[in-house]
Amino acid sequence: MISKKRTWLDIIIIAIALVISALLIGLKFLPSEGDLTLSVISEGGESEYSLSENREIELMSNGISLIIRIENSSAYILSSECPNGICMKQGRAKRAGDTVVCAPAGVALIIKSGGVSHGDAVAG
Amino acid sequence: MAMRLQVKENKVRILVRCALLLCIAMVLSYLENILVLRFALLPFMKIGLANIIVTLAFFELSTSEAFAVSSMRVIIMGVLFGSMISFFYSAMGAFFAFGGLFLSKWLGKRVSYIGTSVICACLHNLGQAVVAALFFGLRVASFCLPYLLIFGAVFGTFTGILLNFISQKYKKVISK
Ligand SMILES: [Zn+2]
Repeated sequence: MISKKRTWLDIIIIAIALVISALLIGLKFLPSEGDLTLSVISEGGESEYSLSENREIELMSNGISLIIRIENSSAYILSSECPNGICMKQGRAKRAGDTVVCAPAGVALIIKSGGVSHGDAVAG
Repeated sequence: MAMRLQVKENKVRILVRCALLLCIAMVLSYLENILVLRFALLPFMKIGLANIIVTLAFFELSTSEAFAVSSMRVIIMGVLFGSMISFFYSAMGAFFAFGGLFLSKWLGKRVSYIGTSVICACLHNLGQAVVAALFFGLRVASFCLPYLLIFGAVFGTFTGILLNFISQKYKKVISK
Protein backbone atom coordinates (compact mmCIF):
# COMPACT_ATOMS: atom_id res chain seq x y z
CA MET A 1 0.00 0.00 0.00
CA ILE A 2 2.22 2.80 1.23
CA SER A 3 5.81 2.83 2.43
CA LYS A 4 6.32 3.90 6.04
CA LYS A 5 9.85 5.03 5.37
CA ARG A 6 11.19 7.73 3.08
CA THR A 7 11.69 6.60 -0.52
CA TRP A 8 13.55 7.97 -3.52
CA LEU A 9 10.31 8.85 -5.21
CA ASP A 10 9.46 11.09 -2.23
CA ILE A 11 12.57 13.14 -2.90
CA ILE A 12 11.86 13.25 -6.63
CA ILE A 13 8.30 14.46 -6.00
CA ILE A 14 9.55 17.28 -3.76
CA ALA A 15 12.16 18.20 -6.39
CA ILE A 16 9.54 18.26 -9.17
CA ALA A 17 7.29 20.61 -7.17
CA LEU A 18 10.21 22.96 -6.48
CA VAL A 19 11.46 22.92 -10.08
CA ILE A 20 7.99 23.70 -11.48
CA SER A 21 7.55 26.61 -9.09
CA ALA A 22 11.03 27.94 -9.85
CA LEU A 23 10.24 27.82 -13.59
CA LEU A 24 6.94 29.63 -13.05
CA ILE A 25 8.61 32.32 -10.96
CA GLY A 26 11.41 32.62 -13.54
CA LEU A 27 8.84 33.35 -16.27
CA LYS A 28 7.77 36.49 -14.42
CA PHE A 29 11.24 38.00 -14.51
CA LEU A 30 11.68 37.79 -18.26
CA PRO A 31 12.56 41.21 -19.69
CA SER A 32 9.52 43.22 -20.67
CA GLU A 33 8.74 46.40 -22.56
CA GLY A 34 6.21 49.16 -22.33
CA ASP A 35 4.72 51.30 -19.57
CA LEU A 36 4.39 49.88 -16.09
CA THR A 37 0.99 49.51 -14.49
CA LEU A 38 -0.19 48.50 -11.06
CA SER A 39 -2.63 45.65 -10.81
CA VAL A 40 -4.56 45.44 -7.54
CA ILE A 41 -6.19 42.14 -6.75
CA SER A 42 -8.71 41.93 -3.94
CA GLU A 43 -11.90 40.15 -2.94
CA GLY A 44 -13.73 42.31 -5.44
CA GLY A 45 -11.58 41.26 -8.38
CA GLU A 46 -8.75 42.91 -10.24
CA SER A 47 -8.30 46.56 -11.19
CA GLU A 48 -5.44 48.35 -12.92
CA TYR A 49 -3.89 51.75 -12.32
CA SER A 50 -1.25 53.75 -14.07
CA LEU A 51 1.98 54.06 -12.12
CA SER A 52 2.82 57.46 -13.55
CA GLU A 53 0.10 59.27 -11.63
CA ASN A 54 0.43 59.75 -7.85
CA ARG A 55 -2.71 58.80 -5.96
CA GLU A 56 -4.21 56.89 -3.06
CA ILE A 57 -6.57 53.95 -3.41
CA GLU A 58 -8.85 52.96 -0.56
CA LEU A 59 -10.37 49.53 -0.62
CA MET A 60 -12.09 46.92 1.50
CA SER A 61 -11.34 43.23 1.16
CA ASN A 62 -12.19 40.31 3.44
CA GLY A 63 -13.57 42.85 5.92
CA ILE A 64 -10.20 44.60 6.18
CA SER A 65 -9.77 48.14 4.91
CA LEU A 66 -6.52 49.17 3.26
CA ILE A 67 -5.00 52.25 1.70
CA ILE A 68 -2.64 51.79 -1.22
CA ARG A 69 -0.45 54.65 -2.36
CA ILE A 70 1.08 55.19 -5.78
CA GLU A 71 4.03 57.54 -5.54
CA ASN A 72 7.00 58.24 -7.85
CA SER A 73 6.26 55.27 -10.10
CA SER A 74 6.10 52.86 -7.18
CA ALA A 75 3.27 51.38 -5.14
CA TYR A 76 2.97 50.28 -1.52
CA ILE A 77 0.43 49.57 1.18
CA LEU A 78 0.21 52.71 3.26
CA SER A 79 -2.08 51.30 5.91
CA SER A 80 -3.96 48.11 6.60
CA GLU A 81 -6.13 46.94 9.47
CA CYS A 82 -4.91 43.36 9.06
CA PRO A 83 -3.77 41.52 12.21
CA ASN A 84 -0.13 40.98 11.28
CA GLY A 85 0.77 44.14 9.37
CA ILE A 86 3.40 42.29 7.33
CA CYS A 87 2.14 43.96 4.16
CA MET A 88 3.13 47.43 5.33
CA LYS A 89 6.71 46.29 5.90
CA GLN A 90 7.15 44.80 2.44
CA GLY A 91 8.34 48.06 0.95
CA ARG A 92 7.63 49.38 -2.51
CA ALA A 93 6.92 47.60 -5.74
CA LYS A 94 8.36 49.38 -8.76
CA ARG A 95 9.79 46.96 -11.34
CA ALA A 96 7.77 44.57 -13.48
CA GLY A 97 7.09 41.42 -11.46
CA ASP A 98 7.41 43.14 -8.07
CA THR A 99 4.64 42.27 -5.63
CA VAL A 100 3.30 43.39 -2.28
CA VAL A 101 0.80 41.14 -0.59
CA CYS A 102 -1.61 41.40 2.33
CA ALA A 103 -2.61 37.81 2.95
CA PRO A 104 -5.32 38.29 5.60
CA ALA A 105 -7.13 40.73 3.32
CA GLY A 106 -6.44 38.66 0.20
CA VAL A 107 -4.94 41.70 -1.50
CA ALA A 108 -2.01 41.64 -3.90
CA LEU A 109 -0.28 44.51 -5.70
CA ILE A 110 1.50 43.37 -8.84
CA ILE A 111 3.54 45.54 -11.18
CA LYS A 112 3.00 44.65 -14.80
CA SER A 113 4.33 45.91 -18.06
CA GLY A 114 2.39 46.76 -21.19
CA GLY A 115 0.15 49.63 -20.08
CA VAL A 116 -3.36 49.68 -18.66
CA SER A 117 -5.49 47.32 -20.66
CA HIS A 118 -8.24 48.97 -22.67
CA GLY A 119 -10.63 46.07 -22.63
CA ASP A 120 -12.86 47.02 -19.72
CA ALA A 121 -11.42 50.36 -18.72
CA VAL A 122 -13.93 53.07 -17.89
CA ALA A 123 -13.39 56.27 -19.85
CA GLY A 124 -13.06 59.59 -18.08
CA MET B 1 -28.06 -13.68 15.92
CA ALA B 2 -24.58 -13.29 17.28
CA MET B 3 -23.32 -12.49 13.81
CA ARG B 4 -25.95 -9.79 13.26
CA LEU B 5 -24.98 -8.21 16.52
CA GLN B 6 -21.36 -8.35 15.43
CA VAL B 7 -22.18 -6.52 12.19
CA LYS B 8 -24.12 -3.85 14.05
CA GLU B 9 -21.32 -3.39 16.52
CA ASN B 10 -18.88 -2.85 13.66
CA LYS B 11 -21.10 -0.19 12.14
CA VAL B 12 -21.33 1.68 15.41
CA ARG B 13 -17.58 1.35 15.80
CA ILE B 14 -16.94 2.87 12.38
CA LEU B 15 -19.43 5.66 13.00
CA VAL B 16 -17.83 6.59 16.31
CA ARG B 17 -14.37 6.44 14.78
CA CYS B 18 -15.43 8.75 11.93
CA ALA B 19 -16.99 11.21 14.35
CA LEU B 20 -13.81 11.23 16.41
CA LEU B 21 -11.59 11.76 13.36
CA LEU B 22 -13.93 14.50 12.13
CA CYS B 23 -13.59 16.29 15.48
CA ILE B 24 -9.80 16.17 15.34
CA ALA B 25 -9.80 17.31 11.70
CA MET B 26 -12.07 20.25 12.57
CA VAL B 27 -9.91 21.32 15.49
CA LEU B 28 -6.84 21.19 13.23
CA SER B 29 -8.70 23.17 10.55
CA TYR B 30 -9.67 25.81 13.06
CA LEU B 31 -6.12 26.01 14.39
CA GLU B 32 -4.86 26.39 10.84
CA ASN B 33 -7.31 29.20 10.10
CA ILE B 34 -5.99 31.12 13.09
CA LEU B 35 -2.36 30.48 12.14
CA VAL B 36 -2.92 31.48 8.53
CA LEU B 37 -4.64 34.72 9.52
CA ARG B 38 -1.73 35.58 11.83
CA PHE B 39 1.29 34.54 9.85
CA ALA B 40 0.32 33.99 6.23
CA LEU B 41 2.44 35.74 3.64
CA LEU B 42 0.21 34.90 0.70
CA PRO B 43 -3.48 34.49 0.00
CA PHE B 44 -4.62 30.86 -0.35
CA MET B 45 -1.64 29.63 1.66
CA LYS B 46 -2.40 26.48 3.65
CA ILE B 47 -0.49 24.15 5.92
CA GLY B 48 -2.91 21.27 5.43
CA LEU B 49 -3.14 20.17 9.05
CA ALA B 50 -6.57 18.61 8.58
CA ASN B 51 -5.22 16.61 5.67
CA ILE B 52 -3.10 14.65 8.17
CA ILE B 53 -6.27 13.01 9.43
CA VAL B 54 -7.76 12.40 5.99
CA THR B 55 -4.52 10.86 4.70
CA LEU B 56 -4.20 8.58 7.72
CA ALA B 57 -7.83 7.49 7.39
CA PHE B 58 -7.34 6.79 3.68
CA PHE B 59 -4.33 4.52 4.08
CA GLU B 60 -4.88 2.99 7.53
CA LEU B 61 -8.67 2.66 7.48
CA SER B 62 -10.73 2.94 4.31
CA THR B 63 -11.43 5.20 1.32
CA SER B 64 -15.01 5.79 2.39
CA GLU B 65 -14.05 6.82 5.92
CA ALA B 66 -11.46 9.24 4.58
CA PHE B 67 -14.03 10.65 2.16
CA ALA B 68 -16.64 11.03 4.90
CA VAL B 69 -14.21 12.87 7.18
CA SER B 70 -12.93 15.12 4.39
CA SER B 71 -16.31 16.13 2.98
CA MET B 72 -18.00 16.60 6.35
CA ARG B 73 -15.14 18.78 7.53
CA VAL B 74 -15.43 21.04 4.49
CA ILE B 75 -19.21 21.32 4.85
CA ILE B 76 -19.30 21.92 8.59
CA MET B 77 -16.39 24.37 8.59
CA GLY B 78 -18.06 26.16 5.66
CA VAL B 79 -21.36 26.49 7.49
CA LEU B 80 -19.73 27.58 10.76
CA PHE B 81 -17.01 29.97 9.66
CA GLY B 82 -16.87 30.45 5.92
CA SER B 83 -18.15 32.73 3.27
CA MET B 84 -19.35 31.41 -0.08
CA ILE B 85 -15.95 31.96 -1.67
CA SER B 86 -13.95 30.38 1.14
CA PHE B 87 -16.24 27.35 0.97
CA PHE B 88 -15.46 26.92 -2.73
CA TYR B 89 -11.76 27.24 -1.99
CA SER B 90 -11.71 24.57 0.65
CA ALA B 91 -14.10 22.27 -1.22
CA MET B 92 -12.05 22.39 -4.41
CA GLY B 93 -8.82 22.05 -2.42
CA ALA B 94 -10.12 19.01 -0.55
CA PHE B 95 -11.39 17.47 -3.80
CA PHE B 96 -8.02 17.86 -5.54
CA ALA B 97 -6.15 16.60 -2.48
CA PHE B 98 -8.35 13.51 -2.44
CA GLY B 99 -7.35 12.87 -6.04
CA GLY B 100 -3.74 13.02 -4.84
CA LEU B 101 -4.49 10.20 -2.40
CA PHE B 102 -5.59 7.96 -5.26
CA LEU B 103 -2.50 8.92 -7.24
CA SER B 104 -0.21 7.91 -4.42
CA LYS B 105 -2.21 4.73 -3.79
CA TRP B 106 -1.47 3.89 -7.42
CA LEU B 107 2.24 4.57 -6.81
CA GLY B 108 2.03 2.06 -3.94
CA LYS B 109 5.14 1.18 -1.96
CA ARG B 110 7.27 3.49 -4.09
CA VAL B 111 6.16 6.50 -2.04
CA SER B 112 5.87 7.08 1.68
CA TYR B 113 3.63 9.57 3.48
CA ILE B 114 6.16 12.27 2.57
CA GLY B 115 5.62 12.01 -1.19
CA THR B 116 1.90 11.52 -0.60
CA SER B 117 1.61 14.68 1.52
CA VAL B 118 3.59 16.75 -0.97
CA ILE B 119 1.38 15.56 -3.84
CA CYS B 120 -1.79 16.25 -1.83
CA ALA B 121 -0.63 19.65 -0.59
CA CYS B 122 0.38 20.79 -4.08
CA LEU B 123 -2.86 19.49 -5.60
CA HIS B 124 -4.85 21.09 -2.78
CA ASN B 125 -3.22 24.42 -3.59
CA LEU B 126 -3.71 23.86 -7.30
CA GLY B 127 -7.41 23.31 -6.62
CA GLN B 128 -7.56 26.61 -4.76
CA ALA B 129 -5.72 28.33 -7.60
CA VAL B 130 -8.38 26.97 -9.98
CA VAL B 131 -11.10 28.61 -7.87
CA ALA B 132 -9.04 31.81 -7.72
CA ALA B 133 -8.83 31.71 -11.51
CA LEU B 134 -12.62 31.30 -11.75
CA PHE B 135 -13.35 34.22 -9.42
CA PHE B 136 -10.48 36.61 -10.11
CA GLY B 137 -9.08 35.58 -13.47
CA LEU B 138 -6.13 33.55 -14.59
CA ARG B 139 -3.57 36.22 -13.82
CA VAL B 140 -4.15 36.18 -10.07
CA ALA B 141 -3.99 32.42 -10.02
CA SER B 142 -0.80 32.26 -12.03
CA PHE B 143 0.75 34.84 -9.74
CA CYS B 144 0.04 32.78 -6.63
CA LEU B 145 0.59 29.28 -8.01
CA PRO B 146 4.40 29.02 -7.89
CA TYR B 147 4.50 30.17 -4.27
CA LEU B 148 1.66 27.84 -3.40
CA LEU B 149 3.65 24.95 -4.88
CA ILE B 150 6.68 25.87 -2.78
CA PHE B 151 4.55 26.01 0.36
CA GLY B 152 2.96 22.73 -0.69
CA ALA B 153 6.37 21.09 -0.97
CA VAL B 154 7.60 22.49 2.35
CA PHE B 155 4.52 21.83 4.48
CA GLY B 156 3.82 18.56 2.68
CA THR B 157 7.29 17.33 3.63
CA PHE B 158 6.70 18.43 7.20
CA THR B 159 3.33 16.68 7.55
CA GLY B 160 4.67 13.64 5.69
CA ILE B 161 7.53 13.16 8.14
CA LEU B 162 5.00 13.48 10.94
CA LEU B 163 2.73 10.89 9.27
CA ASN B 164 5.56 8.41 8.71
CA PHE B 165 6.36 8.72 12.39
CA ILE B 166 2.74 8.38 13.55
CA SER B 167 2.04 5.38 11.33
CA GLN B 168 5.12 3.54 12.61
CA LYS B 169 4.79 4.33 16.31
CA TYR B 170 1.06 4.30 16.85
CA LYS B 171 0.00 1.45 14.62
CA LYS B 172 -2.19 0.00 17.38
CA VAL B 173 -4.04 3.22 18.10
CA ILE B 174 -5.03 3.94 14.52
CA SER B 175 -5.46 0.41 13.16
CA LYS B 176 -8.80 -1.15 12.25
ZN1 LIG C 1 -1.68 43.15 5.76
